Amino acid sequence: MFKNIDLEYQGSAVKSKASMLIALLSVGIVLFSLITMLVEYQPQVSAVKMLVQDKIDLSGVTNPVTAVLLNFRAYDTLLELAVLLIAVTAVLPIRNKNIATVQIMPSQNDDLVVVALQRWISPSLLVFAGYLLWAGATQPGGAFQAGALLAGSGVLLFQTTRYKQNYTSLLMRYTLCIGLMVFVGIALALLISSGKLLQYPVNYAGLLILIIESFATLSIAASLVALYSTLMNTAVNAELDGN
Amino acid sequence: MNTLLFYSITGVSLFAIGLLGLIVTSHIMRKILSLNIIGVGIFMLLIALAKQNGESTDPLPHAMVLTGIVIAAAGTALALNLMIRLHDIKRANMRNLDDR
Amino acid sequence: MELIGIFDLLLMLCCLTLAWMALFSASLFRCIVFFICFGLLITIAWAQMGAYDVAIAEAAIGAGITGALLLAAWNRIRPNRRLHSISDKKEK
Repeated sequence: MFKNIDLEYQGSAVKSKASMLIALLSVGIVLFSLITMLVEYQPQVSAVKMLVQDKIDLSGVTNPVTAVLLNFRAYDTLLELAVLLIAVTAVLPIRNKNIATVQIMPSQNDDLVVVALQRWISPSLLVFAGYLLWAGATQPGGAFQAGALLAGSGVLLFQTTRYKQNYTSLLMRYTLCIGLMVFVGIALALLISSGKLLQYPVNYAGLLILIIESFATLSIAASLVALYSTLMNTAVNAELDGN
Repeated sequence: MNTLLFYSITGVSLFAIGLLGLIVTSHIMRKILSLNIIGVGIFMLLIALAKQNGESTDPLPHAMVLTGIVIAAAGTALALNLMIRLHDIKRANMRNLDDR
Repeated sequence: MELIGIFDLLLMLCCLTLAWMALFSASLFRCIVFFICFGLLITIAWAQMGAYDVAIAEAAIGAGITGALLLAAWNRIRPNRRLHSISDKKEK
């Protein structure tokens, strides 16, 4: 069962019954041991939780998840933006960067409902994403949620042939990098001025978090839609390859 | 025997179902789906264990799971691109065999 | 057992069933659709556990972006390739 990696579309999920039985047995043993470990698990008091609760006033926001994500563990978020950018660079093909980012091509073959949906919902998703970004300081929300919502609206724009989008244009390349660039810039500025990596001064912590979150939202949204754009049909992308 | 214990058992069961699918199925896209289900199972275990004692929740696993969801989506996109590349190569090979 | 406990139990059973069907269904398209439904139920599970930030992110990324990615990739590996949009979901 390890020699065969196939790509056939039809057919049953499992090719041979014997491999299913052996695998079922082994995974059953693993599952049984894990459940036994879980039932006997005694939860301890987490020191990190107490620490976050005590120091949350120093972080500039009130939402503990945003405080952890963008202040106490800001280095992890910086590395995550970098990993997202690396994933996009791995799949985004080198195309013409001078073609405009969006071109509107009205045609007769598009589904009227989907086009209306694009025209009405995408702007309102922009407003929702902005609200989620702003509300991330005090309520559940933040940069990742707003970026994901914007990415959803970007994916919606791909569903008809009305908007011809190029995610390798110059504007898009800047948008993909700007989240990481702003974050690294702020980290370098703090390093030079105070000598500590990513330790925001308490008066400006809220403002710095908002700046980093805004550019990170743009970057995350552009990265996710750029990942989606690489999977579109070759006929749509072949025009971009022409020049 | 509270609800959170059930949620952590569900997370571990999702991990086991994903592992079974990863081992047994042979289509590449099913393996990619299995990897995603393994990821969701592990996230569920993390968040269930973050709320074990008291009313306040530990925000650190929440931040880890948030990071994990985004990275899992990016990894899935990379894996799907590789699958399409494999498919094109296989189809080109089959066409070469037919021409001969 | 109170009603919210029964709701949680049913939710978890549905998640496990959907996960099984998302991997071992006969047709690949059905697997992807079950995976999207699974993502939606997992969003409710996150909300039940009090992780509201994770629920918003999972609804947008886990079910939205990953589902769209899987459907676009499925469209590329179908046996007879025509220009289909995602709204046209006829099986071949």
